[in-house]
Amino acid sequence: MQAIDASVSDPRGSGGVLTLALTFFAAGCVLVLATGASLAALHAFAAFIVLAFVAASNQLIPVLTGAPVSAPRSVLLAAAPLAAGFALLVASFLGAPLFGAAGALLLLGAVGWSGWTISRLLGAPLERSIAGMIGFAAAALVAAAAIGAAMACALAGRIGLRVLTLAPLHALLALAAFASTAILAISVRFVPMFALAHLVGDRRQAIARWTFVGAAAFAAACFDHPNALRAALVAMLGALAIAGSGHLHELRVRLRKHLDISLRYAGVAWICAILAVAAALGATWWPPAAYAAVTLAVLGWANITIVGYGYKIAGFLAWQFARERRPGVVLPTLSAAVPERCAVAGLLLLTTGTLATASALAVAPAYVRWAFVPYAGGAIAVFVSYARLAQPYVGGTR
Amino acid sequence: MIVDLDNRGLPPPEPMMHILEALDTLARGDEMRALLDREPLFLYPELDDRELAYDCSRNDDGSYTLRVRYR
Repeated sequence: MQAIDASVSDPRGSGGVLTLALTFFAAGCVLVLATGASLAALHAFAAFIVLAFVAASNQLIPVLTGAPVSAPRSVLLAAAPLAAGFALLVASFLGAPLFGAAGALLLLGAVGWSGWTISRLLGAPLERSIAGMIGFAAAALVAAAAIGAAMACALAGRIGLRVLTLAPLHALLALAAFASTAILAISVRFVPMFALAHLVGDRRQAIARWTFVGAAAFAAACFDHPNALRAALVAMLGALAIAGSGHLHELRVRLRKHLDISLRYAGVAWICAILAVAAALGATWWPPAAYAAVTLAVLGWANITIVGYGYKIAGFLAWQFARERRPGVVLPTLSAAVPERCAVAGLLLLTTGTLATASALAVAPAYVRWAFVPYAGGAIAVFVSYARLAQPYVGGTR
Repeated sequence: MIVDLDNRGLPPPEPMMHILEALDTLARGDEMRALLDREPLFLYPELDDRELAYDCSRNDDGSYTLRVRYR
């Protein structure tokens, strides 16, 4: 009786892009250990965040919004210029003279994927608010990529270096307007879904999320006016706190007694987000705090959320892949497939590494590589957990 | 006995929650039939955990019908 309609899902396409994303995550960890806190490492993590969202949105947009499903594996085509562009960009920061090609590919990839995604959302009959946030995130990615491409041209010597002063705007667009908006949008449904909880205060949470989106847009518009930037960051802090308290309430009334591993990661990541915005606010008076803010936002908020939700997404993709390949075969249950101890160890190490790296970058940059060691250990634990999670579905059956 | 649920128009995860709550009252030999706007992908592992048999098919109007019973 267990036939399912696979027409709303593309496990091979989404799984392929997620694998690419995880490759960049591993590369980012290796680069920090090898080169310290470098732009090469930062952009490897940026590739992880962008590609993970490309994979997740391909899987979730049809499921959540009722949008038409994409052709099988077309997401791989959409992701290819982004993956190639990020690979060239990382190589350029390591010394290869490829900034021009990297910037062009990333801009092309961002415009292509965002246009494709927004056109799918425009035909979606459900979840207008969440679709609007994903559309905003996609537009922000294009803006971030356009500024990034201009900076890449400057580094290639084709235009003046003055454009490099837009780096804070590039970071705000990428981290607040794109990554944070995307995470907030997805969390609206993921948190209650993973916890098995009824929605709590949906309207209040929607106001908080859109306040964050408005504040992120305002922060980008006035990034070089300290007082206006402070006001935007305070609004973002308040929005995160209200949205987070709504999710906490959902967790308190959940049906599932055991707190899902993905939600433990999400909880820690949310605290990192609040710390990141607080550090960004602090950086308007004491600039070195900006390094801590970026670290908390990238290593803590974005990366920990993504690898946490990845337990559910990767597990589900592997489960669905096995179901498609061997219909009728009894598969191990997903709830029993997550190697809990290893995953919790990964979370503890990632958290320790994030806090240590952020602190080192702000006050003792010479110790960054040592401070990052726990994070790299956490990444290894995450990869081991993913492999053990997928093995029963991809490698064989019970 | 067939238990019918119409979960169309509800945002996620409400359809999943209504189905799981209704399953608590499902007796052996009964079948639950739920109408949904979306295919309940994340519900399937929950049904597997509870050792229930299920299938889901797409209707002509774009909605989905999920059928669940004990194995």
